[in-house]
Formats: sequence, structure tokens, C-alpha cells
Amino acid sequence: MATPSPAVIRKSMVVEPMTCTLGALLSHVDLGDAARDAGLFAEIRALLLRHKVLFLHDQTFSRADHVAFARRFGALEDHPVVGSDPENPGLVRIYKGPDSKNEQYENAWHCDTTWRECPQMGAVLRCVESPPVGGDMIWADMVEAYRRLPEHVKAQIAGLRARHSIEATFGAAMPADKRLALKAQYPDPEHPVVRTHPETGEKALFVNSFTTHLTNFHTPENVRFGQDYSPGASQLLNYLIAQAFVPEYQVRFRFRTNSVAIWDNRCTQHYAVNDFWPAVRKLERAGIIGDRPY
Amino acid sequence: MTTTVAPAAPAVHARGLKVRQLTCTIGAELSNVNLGAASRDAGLVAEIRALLLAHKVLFFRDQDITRAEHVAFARHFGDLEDHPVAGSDPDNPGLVRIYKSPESPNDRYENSWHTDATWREQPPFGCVLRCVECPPVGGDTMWANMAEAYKRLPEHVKTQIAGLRARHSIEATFGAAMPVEKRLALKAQYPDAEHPVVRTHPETGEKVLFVNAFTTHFTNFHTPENVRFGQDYSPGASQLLNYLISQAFVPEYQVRFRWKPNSMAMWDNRSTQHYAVMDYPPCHRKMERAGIMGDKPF
Repeated sequence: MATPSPAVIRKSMVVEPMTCTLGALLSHVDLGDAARDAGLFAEIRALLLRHKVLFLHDQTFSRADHVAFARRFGALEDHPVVGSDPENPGLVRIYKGPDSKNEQYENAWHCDTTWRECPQMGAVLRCVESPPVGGDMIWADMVEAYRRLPEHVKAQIAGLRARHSIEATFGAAMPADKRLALKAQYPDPEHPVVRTHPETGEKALFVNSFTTHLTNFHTPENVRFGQDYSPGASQLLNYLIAQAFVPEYQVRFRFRTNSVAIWDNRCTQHYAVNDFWPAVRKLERAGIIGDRPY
Repeated sequence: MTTTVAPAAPAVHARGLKVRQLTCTIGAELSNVNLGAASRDAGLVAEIRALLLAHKVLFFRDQDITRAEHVAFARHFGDLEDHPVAGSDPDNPGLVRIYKSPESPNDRYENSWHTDATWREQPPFGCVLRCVECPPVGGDTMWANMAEAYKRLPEHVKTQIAGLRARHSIEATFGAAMPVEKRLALKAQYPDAEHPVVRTHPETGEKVLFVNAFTTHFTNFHTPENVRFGQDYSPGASQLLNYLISQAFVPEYQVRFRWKPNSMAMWDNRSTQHYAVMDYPPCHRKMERAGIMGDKPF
């Protein structure tokens, strides 16, 4: 049996697909160099569109380089709940350990920030301290999830729209006044259930754990009787959300200290496995502002 | 979190055997060990058996061993059995051949979360699986820790399912695409088995959530508390069953393993489920599996 022969793209950069569906490991490349090299960056960007999530090990670049590399994709944004590095705005710190709470926000299948009108285009995440074992992350290919839906489901969801909510997710454990203030600041946006990727033109299934309900489900065909509205819509939504659970659409990555993941948030979901707490794990994420889904 | 976090360096055991945890919950990769040699070394088998109970699935690389050694190693754990649908190597009974080729149909039996052969009255103890040939990418296998899945159920669910029993069916799974007479003959040969929904591991005493893709329905759900009205019986029971079956989908309970030729996996079928990812295009993929007979779940 032939051993995998990773493609050599440029100079010495090596690209090794990690599953048949999504995810590739890049080696012999430093993202600090890519922050200063438009040609190298363009190759990485093309690889991201193709593989949807890219992984690298042994990336010891500075925080300034981290931000500079990510900014080549677009402007960065902070997170209203998770704090950023004060010296590097846009670099969100996801630090866990004995002093942090054992929170359950990241271990749900989600696209980042779909509670915004313009959810993130993607993110560049580096692990600056990893536990000895545990804390893997999993990504799912939502283009493949859409492509392999039964035709009758594709027909049923064409044109459907859904509402996404920070209040119902990050806000759900807050006292009522804080939760309502969060909702006032970030009103629940509406997005298409199937979005079109603005660069590749691919259709992607675009509901996730931030999605609360379908907003225009009530057609004569969908709602034969009033009671079809509520259970029917939530069953359909659950079915759609559950597509990310299919292992054929997934790649699982084990972080080491200085491992990096770059993902396209427009066509993937991810799940951060929370099996390591209270061991220490420190992640730093540069989230890139995206455009309005259509 | 339940399990202790391993030290960064692999633990070193007798005979130089090295153990490296792959997740906090399930799975360890053993190195510096050859299962051909282990098949002739009862002490080493005992050590591997203890590690299997601790980690539930063990992985080995670069096992260039013979089929006879594969069978001999597995037989330390019990008698082997063939599979009524997947064929065995004629020279090595008990060594089931799971061979895919560009000509073989994409039959989609292994890519559901399942415990092997729970349609038997006595499902297997476990299996020893070796990759003979695989595509360069794709075809990973995943395992889930069903003791952890039970332990972390909400208390009210644990209370509700205590004492429940469920039926498991080869007819409804491997038989479902057969012509009716062949399907009924299969059912006659392997009548649907009933097992507890929560089984007790016979060696560790752990409680294990024991429903999977072979499970069709509960058999004793109808108590006054569960069934307030007749209509609770059918949708209520299937919703509860779906909820229990979907526990294996939780990533915190899983490990994912990427194969190379001569990689091997050994799993405890009494406390795990697994899922063979079918993401690869038609190609040659050859796996050989020694299934070890188990005892009746209680």
C-alpha cells in the first residue's frame, strides 16, 4: 500500500489531507513568515478554501505576528463575553484551568458568532499551553452536510430562514437584567438556513447551536394544521442541526502547545471537547469579521 | 471530569511496553510491543488485558504479524466466532474479513454507532482488528466509552431506565435489505435477543449504557409511571430510546483513530460502541477481525 504522498506546494510547504472530507495539516511553513509574505499568504488562503480547516504544529510566532497574519484575511473583532489580550486587540483569550469555571459553551456544534448580523469569516487559533492529553477540537464540513441531505429535505428548506441568539446561549445563565442588556446590544439576527459561500459559491447548511427557531416555516404545505408549526419546525431544525454530528463530515485534531488551527467559519462548524478541565489549557483566537450571509 | 490526566511522558510497563493515552476518556496507544510475541507470552497478555480494562480500546502500530499469530493472540481472551454475514478467512476460522474494493457495494452497516453483535444472546467480549490495507486518507474508526456515557446521564434518566430491557435485532439491521425469505431465515437462526438497557461489566463492575444501532425497542417500558396514557407507550419509549442511543454521539466520550497498514485495535465490546467512518471513495481497504465470544449481559 502506498504511503500518503503529501503534495508539495511551495518551496518546502507540505499539505497532507487528514480525512477525505475536510482538514489538512500544513508543515514546513511558519505563519509568522506568512504574515509578511503576501504570496505565501495567498497560497494558504487558497488552501483554506479548499480544505476548510488547516492545522499546523510548532508555530512559535509572536502575538503581534498572530494578529498580523489573521488581519490579512480581514479586520478582527473582540468577543462580548470572552476577554481579549489588552496589548493585542482582536486576540481573544480562551484560558481554562483550575481557576476558571468548567463552562459548557464551546462543546456544542457551532459556527462562531452567528448571533451577529455578520458572523465571522473565520479564525486563527493557537494553543499556547495544552494539557498533556484531552481538549481536542472537531470540525464539520457543512457544505458536505448540505450536499448529502435527501432531495426532499433540500426542497423543503430552500428559502427557509432562522433566528440566532446570543441571549439564549451565552446569556442563558446570566441574571435577567444582564441577559436582557446583552440582547439589546446584540439583537437576534436572522440568517438563511442554507447560505451560499461568497468565495466558492458552495451551498452550506447554516443552522447551529445558536439557532433558536425557523422564522418563515409557515407555508400551506409545511403547516397543514396549526400544530404542525411548533413541533414540526423544531423537529426539522433538530434534524438539520444534528447533521454536524455525522462522523463522515468531521475531522478531529489533537492540539499540542504551539499548534494552530485556521478555519473558514462560513462553511464549517466546530466542537471543543471539554474532557480536560481542570487541567490548564490556553487558546488565543483571532476572529476575522465576515460579511452578511445570503 | 472523571478520569485522571496522564503524565506527558508515556508510562513504562513491564517488558518495555509503553502506554500513551489518546483522550482523557478512552483509548491508549501501546508501543514497544509486538502482538505476535504477546501471543506466546501469557504475562504480557495479562498486562494488555489490564490495560484494555483501563482504557477500553488499545491501539498498536507496525504489527507485521501473521494471521496465525493474530488468531493466537485473540484466543488468549476466549474462543473466536465467525459472522453470519461477513465471511471469514478459510485458513483461519474466526478471522472475519472486512474487505472493501472498488467493485464491492458501499453497504453502510459499519457507519452507525454500534456494539458488535448485540443481536446475539451473548455478544462478543471484544475484538482484535488489524488493518492489512487502507487508503492513504479516510476510513478512520471511532470508539465511544459507554460507561462514561452512563455515568454522566442525568439522575432522573438513570432512575427511569433502571431495570429496563430492550430487544436487539439482526433482522432489522443486516437483514433489512435482504429479500423477505432470506431475512426471515436469518431471524429464525438468530432470534432477536433481549438485553438490559444498563449492563454491568463482568470484570470491572462498571455500569454501561447498553443500547445501540441494533436495538429496536424496549420490552418492559409499560409501567404506570412511564405510561400515563396508552399513547405514552409508543412515542415516549422511542424518544427515550433515541435519547439513549444518541449519547454515543457526544465527542467527550469518543476517540478517533487513523489507520495505517499493520495498525491494530483491540476493544472491549462490553463497554464501548464504535463507528467506522465511510468517507473514502471506492478503493481497496482490507481489515481482519478476530471476534472473541462473550457472556450473557446482566
